[in-house]
Amino acid sequence: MFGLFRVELQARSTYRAQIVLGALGWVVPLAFMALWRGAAADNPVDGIDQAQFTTYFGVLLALSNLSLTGNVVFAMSSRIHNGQLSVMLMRPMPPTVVPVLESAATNVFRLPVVIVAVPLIVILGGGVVRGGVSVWVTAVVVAVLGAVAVAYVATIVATVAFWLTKADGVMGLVVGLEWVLGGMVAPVVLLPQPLPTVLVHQPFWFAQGAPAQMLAGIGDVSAFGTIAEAAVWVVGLHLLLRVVWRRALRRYEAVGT
Amino acid sequence: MIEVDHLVRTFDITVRPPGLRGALRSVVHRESRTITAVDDIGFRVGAGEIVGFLGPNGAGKTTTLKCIAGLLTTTSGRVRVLGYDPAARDSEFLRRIGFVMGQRWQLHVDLPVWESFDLHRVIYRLGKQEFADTRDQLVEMLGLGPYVMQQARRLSLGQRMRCEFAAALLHRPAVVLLDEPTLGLDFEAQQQIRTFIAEYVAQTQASVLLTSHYLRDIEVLCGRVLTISDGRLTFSGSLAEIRATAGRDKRVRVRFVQPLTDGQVAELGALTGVTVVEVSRSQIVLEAAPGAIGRAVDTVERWVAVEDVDVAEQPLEDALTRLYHGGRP
Repeated sequence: MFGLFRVELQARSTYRAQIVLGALGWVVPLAFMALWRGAAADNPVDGIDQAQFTTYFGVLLALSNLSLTGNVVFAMSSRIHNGQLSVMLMRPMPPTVVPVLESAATNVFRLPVVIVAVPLIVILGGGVVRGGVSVWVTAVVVAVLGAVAVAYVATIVATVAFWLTKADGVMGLVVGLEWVLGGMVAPVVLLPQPLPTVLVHQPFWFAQGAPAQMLAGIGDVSAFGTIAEAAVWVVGLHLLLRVVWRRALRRYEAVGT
Repeated sequence: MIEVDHLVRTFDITVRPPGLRGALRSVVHRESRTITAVDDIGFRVGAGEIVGFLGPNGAGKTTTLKCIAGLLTTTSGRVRVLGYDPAARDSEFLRRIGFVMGQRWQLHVDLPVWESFDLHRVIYRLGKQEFADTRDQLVEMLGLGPYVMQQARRLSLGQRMRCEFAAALLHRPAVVLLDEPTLGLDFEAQQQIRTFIAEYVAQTQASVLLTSHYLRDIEVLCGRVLTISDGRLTFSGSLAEIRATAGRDKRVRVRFVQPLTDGQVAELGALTGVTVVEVSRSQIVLEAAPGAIGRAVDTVERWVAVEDVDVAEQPLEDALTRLYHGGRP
């Protein structure tokens, strides 16, 4: 798998203009950061102050730049749709890992933004990271498990293309869900009940909102409980993908060859 | 190596009446029908054998190949390749099969071909020395040296196809499926690919199933031919057997200096064992029984000065066309 990742990295280094444009990254969290900082200018919003919003959306900026969802869902569904999946199916490796590694390779070129620009934005915006090393470690573990779970969700949704010839709307829906369910529009604790209670038990939140809340000191996020729950999601989604994929391949028509 | 028994593959397709009305009605009520792409076919391909798989467009050739490769599941029937069920996609099976699809890229378009080859080494877990030996051999056999360091997307069609061949065979598959491998290639590239396939099979004793619309591919490479039409096998045997079905009549092309009159053409057509196939100002093409050829040419020579006479077997295409339309030879 590392070999394939290395090759994808080599392929992506071919086009310099794309690297530069890609490195500018995904800036939507900055807009929401400005919005919520403004709302908390005079008084904290439900106990969340400007510094916490800065940190929260700064972490989201980093995580959304490293998200795999969009690439996975669109790359996989288009390959199913145009028959290019056939080439992958002929190789002795799971075809589902290819879009994930492609996305990861693309994200490598966004690392400069994540490593340099995000801390700068957080510091200039007066953000403060709460907690010590253990919080950092927990946040990273939860984010990784969440990202893996979301990659599974994206792949499962992409398999809709086996049944529907034109499924772009469904694919776009996943990206939209990531915004809302992941906490990019607002920290889920600010949403009306019962949403905060429900939304903290799904993969999109583990991938983005949970680590951001942990580092910003928003709400009471249980480290062990969150990690355990995210791990259960990963295992469950893995098993679900195996079943769905097997059924989906029976529908594959390998068009265009 | 390849065993196909009573293979059936159907597809459900949506049908709708033409025009805007039909399109709008289909939004509410969708009708579908089942088409049978492959209908109860069976054959075997042994080790070291190259079998040609011929048929008109839409006959079911590629669908059959996809079932053998495991890309499509069968509706019914049984397919076994090297003892494996292809649809199960066992990784050992995938390591031992190669599929060259004329319209599909296996090479990474953004990378130099050399690096795509290396990706295959990683994916197929080939030993470095074993891989380097095979790669160097393929590069030499296919003459890839001058452009193997170029980005795949910048290659011409012929160059790309040769590289695709190399990529598909780097892991030395024991079963090779070739779907239109010489499509769109120039004469030289076609010849190079044919020579390469023959050498590869001689070296590895691989089983090869080849579809092509270029009969020269089949003539040069295939000891046995299967023809398929409307999803059903219509012939299994040698190309010589197909040729024999064309009968003993020969195609006689007579070129002359001045044109024949209509009356002279009619007189030729009236000769026993002679049929006029085509007439122009400078030549006439006849179908003639062996004993009637000399008589026909003598007759023409009495009327006009003959420049050239060419006697040939009946075109293979004619016999194949009959097979394509379902008739046994």
